[in-house]
Amino acid sequence: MKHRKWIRSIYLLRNDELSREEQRALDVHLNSCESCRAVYENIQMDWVSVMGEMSAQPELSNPDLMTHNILSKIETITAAVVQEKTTGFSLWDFMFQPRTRVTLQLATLALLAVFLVEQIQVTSSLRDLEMQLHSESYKASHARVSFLPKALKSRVIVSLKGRLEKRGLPVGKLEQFSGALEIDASQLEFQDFNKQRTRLSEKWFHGRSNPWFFKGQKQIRRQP
Amino acid sequence: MTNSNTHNNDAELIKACQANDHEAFRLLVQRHQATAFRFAFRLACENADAEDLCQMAFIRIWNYRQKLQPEARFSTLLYTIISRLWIDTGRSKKHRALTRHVEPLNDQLASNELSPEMLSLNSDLAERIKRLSKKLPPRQLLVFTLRDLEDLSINEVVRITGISTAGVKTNLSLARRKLRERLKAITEVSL
Repeated sequence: MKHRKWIRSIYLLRNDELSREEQRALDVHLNSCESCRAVYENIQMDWVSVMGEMSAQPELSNPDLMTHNILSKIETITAAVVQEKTTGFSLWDFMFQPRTRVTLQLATLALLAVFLVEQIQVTSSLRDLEMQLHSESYKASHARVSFLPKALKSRVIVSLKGRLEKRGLPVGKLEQFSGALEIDASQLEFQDFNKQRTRLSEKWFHGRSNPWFFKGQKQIRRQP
Repeated sequence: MTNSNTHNNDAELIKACQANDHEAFRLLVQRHQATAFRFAFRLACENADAEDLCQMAFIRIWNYRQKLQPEARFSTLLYTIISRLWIDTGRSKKHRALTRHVEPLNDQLASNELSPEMLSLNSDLAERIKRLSKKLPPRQLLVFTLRDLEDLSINEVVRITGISTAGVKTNLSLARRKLRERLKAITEVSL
């Protein structure tokens, strides 16, 4: 098809489908181009047939029945809504209310923030305490550990003690410090969880459940 | 009754519906159900499917009545909802029956309602539309139906379909061309 863009316009030759400029340009083209004029005339003739085929008006078979169906459905819906209101609370609806969703989202964010702040506090307290213990003039009040809850304080101290011992540093100052923080000295037993875990696995390995065990490099089978 | 009077009355009826007036809604349904059915039938090509579409459209209007703007044209709203429902339910692609949303018809009512002439008129038209619009994409069929069969303006078609003006014009031009070619092909085969 040679004049594709004109063909598109020819199909749009109805009241307000082409702008004035487009219509003028199409008129000029139709006056000069014989093939497009032929297409235009054919379309006009064929269009009558197309509309004749499709423009018949379908009839609604029973309008009253349709009205009745629609209204009875609506009455059912209204009755269901009223019943829901009277029976009261629906958890599902409540959960999907915008206000509830926003509240839950805010609560989640708040919990996350509290958790993060706590993590940061514990980490920085450990670092501060370590620095304080190595300085000449430390005071318990200088350490930021003082505002932590008591249970957390003792965990911080215990963990710090473990670190110091691991590095071969003296832990005397730490015991003084824990006294200043009113922490029971008996809690200062460092729990080496790694060691404990190793002991447990060894126990399991040499336990009754496993007939094989190692003695040095040698694998020995336990006698029943 | 003139168009403006109908429009004013529609606005008043919509306001009454917003105050939960069932009688006002009955009047709205009675006034517009023929138009709704005609449009739905031209899209769905089935009596039962067209009735389902109309009922679902009116029920949706009732459910969202509080959000309606009484000043807006009710027929435009109806065309919009029916076309969205038609596209959503996938009728455009498969022409399959929907799960019925209405109670099964009473036998007596059913036998009273369907006159043979009316049935044959509708089924003839459905056959013709199906035969011609067989290869027409849903968007083109929708634009063609709204513009050429329902005689709406391009601006109204744009508002109902949500397609741009240029898009509507292109779809319309393509639909007209395809329909004409299809009709020609059918005529040649029958000759």
